[in-house]
Amino acid sequence: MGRKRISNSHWVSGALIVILALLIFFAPSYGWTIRAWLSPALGNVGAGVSQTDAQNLVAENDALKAQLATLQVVASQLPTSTPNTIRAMIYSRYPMNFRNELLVSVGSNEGVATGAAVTFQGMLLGEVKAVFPETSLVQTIFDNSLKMPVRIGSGGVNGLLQGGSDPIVGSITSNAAVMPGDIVYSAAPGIPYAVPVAQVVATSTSADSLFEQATLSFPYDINNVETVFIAK
Amino acid sequence: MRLRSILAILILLLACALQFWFASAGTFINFILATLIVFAFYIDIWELLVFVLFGIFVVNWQPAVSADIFIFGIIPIAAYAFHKVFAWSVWAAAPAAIVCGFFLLYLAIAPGAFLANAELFSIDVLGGLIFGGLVFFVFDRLKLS
Repeated sequence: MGRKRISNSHWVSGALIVILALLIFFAPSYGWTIRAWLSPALGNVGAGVSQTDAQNLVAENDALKAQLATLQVVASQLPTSTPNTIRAMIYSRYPMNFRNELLVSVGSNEGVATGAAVTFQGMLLGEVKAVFPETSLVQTIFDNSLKMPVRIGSGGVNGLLQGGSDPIVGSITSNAAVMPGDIVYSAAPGIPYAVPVAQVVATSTSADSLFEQATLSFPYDINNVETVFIAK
Repeated sequence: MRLRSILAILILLLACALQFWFASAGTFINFILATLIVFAFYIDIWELLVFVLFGIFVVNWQPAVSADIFIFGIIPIAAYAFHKVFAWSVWAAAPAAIVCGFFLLYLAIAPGAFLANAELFSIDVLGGLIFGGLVFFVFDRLKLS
């Protein structure tokens, strides 16, 4: 009797293992749906897109006003860049520490390519790391493994953006004129030139005393981002 | 369905909800991994595999199965094997397995970042230990092993 019950329970477990394995490999989107139900932020995506969009637009408007004021000061140093972009919704996010990746709703079917720039409210958010037929994986600038050449301010000072929960720009030559308020913008191969990344908050000497480094501020909260634009 | 299985399902769903709720606020605590590690000390390998695959199914953030997810799934199974082979006291082995499991996970997926951000790791481990401790307490008090 007991042996039969154990056997039945193993059959149920075995069947569930097969079903879950099939779902993981062939229908992972159901997992994202479960995440959306369990996640307060992502749970709003399906239920109230218009509300989310409205909130995004308000935030975008505020950020653009601040950005406009800043850019007017340094307009001469920032070439205008208006690439063709694809709008994408965020499906899911990397769920653990030390990485920051987003899965977005467009892929190779829409013409997304690996290495393409990803922006939010005109600011560089990251780059496409992997492309699938209907989705793409974006590595954001808040990912610890991201490193990207950037330039800073009107002098176009070279630096290296080092991703992380608090990204910094390192490898700045020690005599470079970098001031709080300077704009950090992209200067990496494959990424449109001079896409704003962040604003310098403060500078300090690096741990090895060879370079300067800059701490940055961002006009958005990565956890609240729900739509992005991907450069074609 | 046995009480233990129902309770395990509810606890795992709670761990998922907590993990995603904290993540949406920008704090990453691996409640799901801590839960699966504690499960390894109380349920059989077949049920554990079901829960591990469910954890992978929910945690996986992309269409492909990455190395991160593979390691995430291996750790509770390694904890199960460790428990069977060494038969340490569960009171000592479960928290040790959580700390070691988190350490190995982040050492494997982000070694540089993990070593440079001890504070983030400490918060993650502490949260995992607290939640894992609660799960352990529930299973132990109800004698569900």
